[in-house]
Amino acid sequence: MKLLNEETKKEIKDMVYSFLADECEVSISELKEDLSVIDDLDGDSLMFVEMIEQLKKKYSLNIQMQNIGKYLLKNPANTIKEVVETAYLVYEKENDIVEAL
Amino acid sequence: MNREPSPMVEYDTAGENIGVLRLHNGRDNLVDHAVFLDLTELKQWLQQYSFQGLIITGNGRNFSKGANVERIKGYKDCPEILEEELNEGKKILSYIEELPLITVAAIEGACFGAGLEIALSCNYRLASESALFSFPEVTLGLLPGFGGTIRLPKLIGQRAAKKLILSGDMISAQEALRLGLVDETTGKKEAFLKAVELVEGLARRCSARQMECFDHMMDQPGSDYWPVYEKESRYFGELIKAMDI
Repeated sequence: MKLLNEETKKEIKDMVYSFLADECEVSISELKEDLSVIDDLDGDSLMFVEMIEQLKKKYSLNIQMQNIGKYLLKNPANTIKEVVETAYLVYEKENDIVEAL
Repeated sequence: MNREPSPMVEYDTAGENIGVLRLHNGRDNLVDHAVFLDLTELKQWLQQYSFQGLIITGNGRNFSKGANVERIKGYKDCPEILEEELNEGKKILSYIEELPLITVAAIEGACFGAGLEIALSCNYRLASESALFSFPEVTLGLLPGFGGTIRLPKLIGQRAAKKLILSGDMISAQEALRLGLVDETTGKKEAFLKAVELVEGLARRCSARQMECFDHMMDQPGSDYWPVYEKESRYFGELIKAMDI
């Protein structure tokens, strides 16, 4: 399990916000943590998978798409806050995220 | 249910004389009907403009999330109708595949099922680094039915095709590149631009007739090469006559 320090946490959070702003064509300042990605931002479930792919590339994470899918089926990330928290978990646990089910 | 074809294609142009087919059907660009465009209209459009290349892309965030499953369910009691429609749809894909043009699928976002099968009818597939690919039919108790079981193994080999089709797994653009399913990955939202560059780069170097001759050569079956060699010589002779120098 990787250790998640405050600096990386901030980096990941910024990355999530920047990704969502870009994908949903809104400014970062409009993004509040309790907004629903699908209902409020007109996003879709695949955006999360795309975002994790970016995270995977940036931090060389060992995480398979299928495992992200399995985790999300049980723990859907609806709000921006939940998306950020799931991204933290992916960073920390990588493929072992399925054990958190 | 309405079984009339529902064209989901906008005709557009780009760059130096390039035709663009833009899939559009809501956010997901679902393929509602196998006859996803009017073939006669497509032929007329291509004849009218004499394009040097054709790009197929999706409107908005996704190339296409594939067939509309709800509509497919509606054919449960009359699969023979769906079968006929699929055959009609495959004529469109075969027509695109055989066009004497450089054809490119420019892919952003999701490229699933029938959407991926449309992309497979092109010569090249350029995908943004965040694109995702899948044949999810197996998860519905189906198999790809829009030419995917034929074109995919031809492109990436039987072993890899079997794995992708039978697992129903979703793969990233990087994995698709590794498998040979896509030819190049691009930055996000850059696939279309790169597709234009690819067509222009290739088309700049050859005439329409050269392209046509080359395509005729490509159509030949793998056996009995001698007539093909003869044909190649004939075309070579014809092209020499038309040379500028």
